[in-house]
Amino acid sequence: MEALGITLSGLIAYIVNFSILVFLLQMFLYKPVQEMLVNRRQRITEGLAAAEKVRHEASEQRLEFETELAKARASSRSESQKIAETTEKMRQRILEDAKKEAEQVKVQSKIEAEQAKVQIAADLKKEAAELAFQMTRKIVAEAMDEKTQRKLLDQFLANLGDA
Amino acid sequence: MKKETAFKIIMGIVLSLVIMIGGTMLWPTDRGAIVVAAEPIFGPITNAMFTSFLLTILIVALAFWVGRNLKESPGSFQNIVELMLEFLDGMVNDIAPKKWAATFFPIVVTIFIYLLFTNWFSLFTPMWASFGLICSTEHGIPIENITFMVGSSASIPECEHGGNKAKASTETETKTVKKQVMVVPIFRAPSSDLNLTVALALIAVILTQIFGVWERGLGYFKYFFRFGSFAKQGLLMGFIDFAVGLLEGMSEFTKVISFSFRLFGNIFAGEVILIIISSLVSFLLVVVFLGFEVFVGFIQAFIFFILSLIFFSMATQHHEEEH
Repeated sequence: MEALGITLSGLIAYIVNFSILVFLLQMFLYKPVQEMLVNRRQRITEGLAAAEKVRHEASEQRLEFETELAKARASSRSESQKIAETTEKMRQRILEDAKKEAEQVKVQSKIEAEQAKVQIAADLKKEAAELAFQMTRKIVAEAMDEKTQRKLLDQFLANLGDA
Repeated sequence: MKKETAFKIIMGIVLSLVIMIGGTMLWPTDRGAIVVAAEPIFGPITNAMFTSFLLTILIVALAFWVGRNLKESPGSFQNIVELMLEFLDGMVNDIAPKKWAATFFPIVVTIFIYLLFTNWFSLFTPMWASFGLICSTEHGIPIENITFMVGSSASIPECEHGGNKAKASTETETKTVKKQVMVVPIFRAPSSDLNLTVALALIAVILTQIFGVWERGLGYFKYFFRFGSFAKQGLLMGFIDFAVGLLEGMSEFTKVISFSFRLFGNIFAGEVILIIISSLVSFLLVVVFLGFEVFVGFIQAFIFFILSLIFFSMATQHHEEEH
């Protein structure tokens, strides 16, 4: 032991030295550093939790927004569909009305044409009869009596009516 | 082009060798005496002890400075300290039982920090070894080579310690023997003093027993004195188990030796290598060994730290849990 330099006083000196060092380092270094690290860790955890909360809120808001958007889209789609249907109905109705009106106009004009035709025919018949009567009276006045003239005229008119 | 590069490299190597070897020839250095025991410089205080006190003051001053200037956004030095302490704290928490981690932490981490400083101090040995007190001896530097700035050759005391201690000689012998002196360095890496390594080993081993008893009461010693095995496992197995227990008990004592001599051997040998290499060649080659010693110093501090931690943890864990 002597040759190796190990002495009791040396051992005690180093043990005391080391003990003092442990005590002082615990007081000056480990405690403050660990406290600071714990504080920092806590702050980081809090920060992370806050960030997580914000993220969660944001995602909730986004979900809400997306739901709203989907609703709005769906309602606008149904709205536009309704409008399209109404427009289509309106179009159909207008078309039908127009068709009916056209039909009516057609029928009316046909009736009117028919009436006009009948009227014209009657007028023509009348005029022709008058004319024939006048002519006949002029021509036949001299050759026939009143009775024969009338008989001939009736016959003529009957023929004209057949034609 | 390639030939030119090769030529340059070879010339570089040759030049380096010439400088390294020529340097020592041109400026020869007297190799410091290699003494296993730390040499006393002021009364009972040895140079290693003195260095240890200085290093302790340095460590405490640094710790105080760091502790007082802790900032939320750390500077580079605080960052290194934090990183180191967090890493060590992680290891302590991983290895030690939760209940004991906070108790072990200051002890094992101080072991690491203290040893790191004392081990790395050995890197400066070739430089510090030149500063010292001189004393007369038989195998040293011839006294004519010494230039005295303070005192004179008449006032040189005889060396008290170490292998080169001057033999008690008669007056006639002293006249005929050429007087030589050796330098007792004021600074010496504390880890190269067995007192420190044995003291730390004793602290580690004694604390292991204290923690063991603290956690498990006197039942802790059942691990070493396994009388119960005779009843449980029969005579033969019981005897074997009992012998194993005794061996475990003995290994607690041998831990002191293995702990202390491992550290001492590594650091002392490192110092010797540095002294020898720097007296053989100059410049480059020394740098290689310095780098190697940086590594060795760190590894030895870490080994001491981790082994102490493991022994503390093993003592405070219940053996039933281990099986």
